[in-house]
Order: sequence, then structure tokens, then C-alpha cells
Amino acid sequence: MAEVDRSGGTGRRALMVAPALLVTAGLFGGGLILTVLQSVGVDPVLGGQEVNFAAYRTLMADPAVRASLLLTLGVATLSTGLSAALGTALALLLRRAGRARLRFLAGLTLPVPHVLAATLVLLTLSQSGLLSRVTAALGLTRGPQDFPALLFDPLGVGVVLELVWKETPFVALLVLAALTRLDGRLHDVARSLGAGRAARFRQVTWPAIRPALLTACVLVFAFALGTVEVPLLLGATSPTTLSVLAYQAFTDTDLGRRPLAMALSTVLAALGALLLWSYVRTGPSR
Amino acid sequence: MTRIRPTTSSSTIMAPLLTALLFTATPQAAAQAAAPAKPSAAWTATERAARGQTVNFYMWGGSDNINRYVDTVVAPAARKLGVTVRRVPVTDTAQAVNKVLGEKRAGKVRGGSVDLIWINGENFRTAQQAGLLKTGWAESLPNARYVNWKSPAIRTDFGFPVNGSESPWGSAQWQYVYDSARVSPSELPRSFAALAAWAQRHPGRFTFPAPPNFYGNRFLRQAMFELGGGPQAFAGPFREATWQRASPKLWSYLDGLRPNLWRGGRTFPADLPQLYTLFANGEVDFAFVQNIGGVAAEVQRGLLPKTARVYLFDAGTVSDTHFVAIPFNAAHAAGAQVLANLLLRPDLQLAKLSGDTWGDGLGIDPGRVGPAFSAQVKAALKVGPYTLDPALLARRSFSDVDATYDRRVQDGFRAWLK
Repeated sequence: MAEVDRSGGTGRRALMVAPALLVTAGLFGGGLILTVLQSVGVDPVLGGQEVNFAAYRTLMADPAVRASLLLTLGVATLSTGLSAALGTALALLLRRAGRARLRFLAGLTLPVPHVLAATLVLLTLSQSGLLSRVTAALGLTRGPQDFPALLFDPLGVGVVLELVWKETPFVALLVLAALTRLDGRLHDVARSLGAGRAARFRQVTWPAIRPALLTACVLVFAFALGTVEVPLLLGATSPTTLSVLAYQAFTDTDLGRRPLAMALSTVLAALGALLLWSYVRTGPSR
Repeated sequence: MTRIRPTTSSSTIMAPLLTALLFTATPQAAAQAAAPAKPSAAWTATERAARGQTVNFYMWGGSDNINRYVDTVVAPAARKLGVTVRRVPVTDTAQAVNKVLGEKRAGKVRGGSVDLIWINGENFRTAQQAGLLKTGWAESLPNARYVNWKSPAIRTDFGFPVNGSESPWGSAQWQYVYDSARVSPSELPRSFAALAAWAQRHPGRFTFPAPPNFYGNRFLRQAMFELGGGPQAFAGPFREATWQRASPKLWSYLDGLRPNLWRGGRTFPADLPQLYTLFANGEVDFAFVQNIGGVAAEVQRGLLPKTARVYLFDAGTVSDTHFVAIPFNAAHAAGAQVLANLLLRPDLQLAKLSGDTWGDGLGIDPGRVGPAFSAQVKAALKVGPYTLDPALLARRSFSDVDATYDRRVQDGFRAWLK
């Protein structure tokens, strides 16, 4: 990026990315603008012309929304933190093992859609799921009622489990790519200078993987923030995440609830933007 | 995933449509209907326009039985008329309505992507309010002569006049499902009070889908009817006083029931498939079904165990009609009309009734088809362990009430959960 051709190349480059930018700005930006407009009650088809903030006032007054916001942020933070830690550990292990076949296996869950992954979690971990049947067959539990209630819980344990299962290999893959670029001789130098294991990780490995890890975290967090299908399948009916609340309001048969759905979506988009902003501000400079 | 089974209701006292009329077919009516009417010139033109069209049929896709019926019975019959059926599954009918609404917003007044919607009462109301539906076509379909348009259950949908913008497809009635391997018939709760007592003796063995899910709403409205003095007390347009009197009883009933629900009432299944899974896995002992054919189709498909049985509460349950509608901007409106007409054809209605396919009730009046058809209907509804006697269903049925009660129950439940 640093070596931009100054002799008019920037203009040509801008022209070259223009089609992609137009599509992004048109589809995404247009959708965003419509969402914000509808959230403030501007919707000519439904007879709304005047700007009002009733939907936002309703959101602020609703304790269910507050509980939902806490749950959403909690689930996103926890699943990001866990997948970051596990993903990094997995990447370090894979680098040491170094076998291509192992790396392939580790990446196997990446193309699995989240809906499918959530269903698998449901079939495995529910109180009458596969694991519960195994423990019952082994005589460890007497039936579904003895198996720990991991899913549909108010703390979102099931949702976090699914996200960690899906995102850990994703984080591992990004970190592994950074590790592969790391010159192995740096470790030798560090060792020769008397650095122990922890010091080598801190001084050599960590700076090398930090940018990739941060990028991975932002992506995982953003996904966890917006996912609908996972909390819908594995979460409790109440409290539920902001995205599910937005979905419920959007599919409500009362058209009067559309602004509420759009306001919730706007809040989610704002959270995402905040995340992006802080990433650009504090993130790795190139 | 999330499934709301489209069903509708009328605000007036409902004629227990299919079943009551089923055995009272008069020879005169049959004779009238037996002579095939000559199709009008307008209909011939519609059929010609429909030839070669692909109809995008948006419908709730949460039931394999229903999908299979459309794919293996309706689609081949439509192909003979030159119409291709493209079934578009949605998890919630509101998605189809939202799509049409989005197109209206974008100014797309023709060439819309939705041609036919299997719609439920609440969504019908919404779509009507936003002017999203084609009007005045349903009663001029040739097979509309089999429909009893005078029946309040068909004239209005959720208290909203249908006005020829919806064509009936079938009918349903709320029934309770229990597992005979775990609950003996003698201890079955047959009222909401008895249900609460049963749940106290068997904590954690009962639950219901949480509203806004359709099934959860209907379950709570059934409870409200019983606790609030019967469905007659709620007949007619919504009355604030009635709600103020009845709703506290509903919430305090739920307060008492909650600790004895599955997972202590801290969470609920999100939809009917989830409830069926809990039931089939032995986590709970009760479920619900709306099919006139009971759970025959579900048991046959292995969705519910062979020990599943259906029964009714003593005070009766809600029955209603469900419809299809055509959006105002449908690209293939002619094809959609041909398809809607096809859905009313007696042989297709009969195929739908059987527990071998779907088990859904009739949308047409058998008396208007003929005595032979009435006899076939009677034979198709094999009364047995999985299907209740239609005469009993008819005796114990009443219609749903104004849609505002449904809305209030949804909002009230949200508030009650906290």
C-alpha cells in the first residue's frame, strides 16, 4: 500500500475499485440509510412522513432491551475471548506439528454453516441429545433431567459454545498464517540471548501474531453481535440477543413495530461501527 | 426453524365447517354441483394467460407433510394445466408480506416476485392495511362454487372482511397431544385448572412455545377463554373492559403454572418443531396439533412416537379456516389464480385430508360437491388412535376472537416474562 504510484496511478486505482465501491455503497449504504430513516418513522408506504424518535424512546424505556443488550455484549465478548485464546493455542500447536493433513482437519469446520453447526450443537448437547443418551446408557444419568441444561439458558452458554466451536479454527487459521510468515531464526536469536519460553512468546511470537489476532477478534465479535440463527436455535426465549429482538419486531404482524425493528438494527449497526472505529484507531498500523 | 403455521380465524361464531356439513349433504345441493359449469370466457382467458407461467408460492416450510403434499400432489396437477409451482419456503409468513411491502416501497407495482402467499389471519390484516393484496378475485374462481361463502368463518378472517382477496385452502382445529406411554387417559387434564394440577404433580413435564410464536399465542388465548368465562365473552369486536377483566386471571394462572413448567418456565421452546423434539425425546408429555387428521401424518413420518394420541379439553377448542392470497403486484397473477382454483379442487382437497399426507381439514363444503364426495371424506378421515372423530371435533369447536386480543396476549406475555 505504501508504494502507490504517484504519477496519476491513484486516480486510475480509484477508478478500478469504483465498481466494487458502488455496489457496496449502493447496497449496503442504501440499506443502512433506509434502515435509519424507517427507524425514525419515515416510511411513506406506511404513511409515515414526519421524523420522530418514538422507537428509540420505546427501546430505552424497555427493560427487556437493556437485558438483551447486556446479553448480546456478554455473549460477543466471551465468545471472542475464548475463540481468540483457543485459536491462538491451536495455531501454535499446529505450527509445531507442522503437518498439512492436521491443518486441513483443523480448518474442516470453517465451511460448515452456522445454522448447521447450531443444529449439531442442539443434537449433541441438549438434555435429550446424543451426549445425554451416552451418559444415560453408561448409567451416569437417569434421564434428560439429570443432564446439565447447557442450552436455552438465560446466560447464553449454548450460544457461546457454538460460536467458540465455529470461530476457534477461523482464528487459528489467521494466526497460523501470521506465524508462517514469522522468521524462525528470530526464536533462535532470542534463545541465544537467554530468553525463556514465556519471554520468547512475549517478545517474538506475540508481536508477529498480534495484528492477525486483532483482525480475527474484530471479525468474530462483529459476527457474534449480529448473528440471528444461533441465538434463535440455542438461546433462551428471554432474554434474547438484540438481533433476535430486531428479527421478532421485523416479522411482527403489527406494521407499527417496523420502526422498532429498524431502531434495534440501527443500534446494532452503531455498535459495529464503534468496534470498527476503535479497531482502526488502536489497531496495527501498517 | 421458527414456524408459524398459517391459520386464521373469524370473529363471529363459526360454523364447524367441514364436519357439520359433512354428513348433511342434501341431494339437491349435490345435483346442482354435479353438473360441471361451463367456464366463463374470462376464466378461459385466465387459464390461457397462466399457461407457461411459474408461480412463486410463498408458504410456511416448517412441515415436511405439507411440503410433500404441495410437491407431489399440487405441483403435478398444476403441470397438467401448464403451470409450474415453485414452492418458496418461509419460516414465518411475515417474511413474504415483508417482501411485498419492500417492493411496494421500492415502487415496484408490477412484476413482483411473490405470486401466491399462504397467509394467516394476522398477516392478512397487515397486508390489507398496507394495501398489498389483489382484491375481488377469489369468488370468481370456478371451484369457488364448492365454497360456502356465507359461512362467517370464510367471510371474515380474524375479524377482517375477506372481500374476495383470499381463497380458502383448508381448515384446522386445536387439539392436545399426549404420550399414552407416559400419561394414562384417566389422568389426562381436560381443563386449564386440571392442567395446572397435573403439572404440579409432574413438574417439568409440560411446556408451550413462547409467543410471539403462533402456537404459543393460541395456547394462551385458549387459557384466557376458559379463565375469562368462555369464548362467548370475547365474541365481537375487541373490548378493553373484557381484556382488563380477563387478562389478570391469565397472568396469575401462568404465575402458578410457571415453576412446574419445563426448565422451571425460565425458557420455552421457540416453535412447534422444537416442542415436538422435546416430546419425542421424552422431555415433556404434551404437545399440540392443528390438523383435522390429528397426528396421523406426524406419527407416520416418525416425527412423533407411535404412542402419541390426540384429545380435547372439555370446553372445546378453536377451529378456523386458512387461506391463500395474491399480492397486488404479482408477476404471475393468472398462474396464481389457476393454482388457487386448483387448491379447491375436490380430489386435491380430499388428498390433503388424509393422514397419509397432511391431515388438514377441508376448505370446501362437501355438501356442495355431492354425496359421493361426502362419503369419500368420511372414509379419508379414519378415526383411530391418531385422529379424533370429526363429529366430536365439530361439537367441541368455537371460533377465535378479534385479532387485538392476540396482540395484547403477545405484549402481555413479554411483560409477564420479566
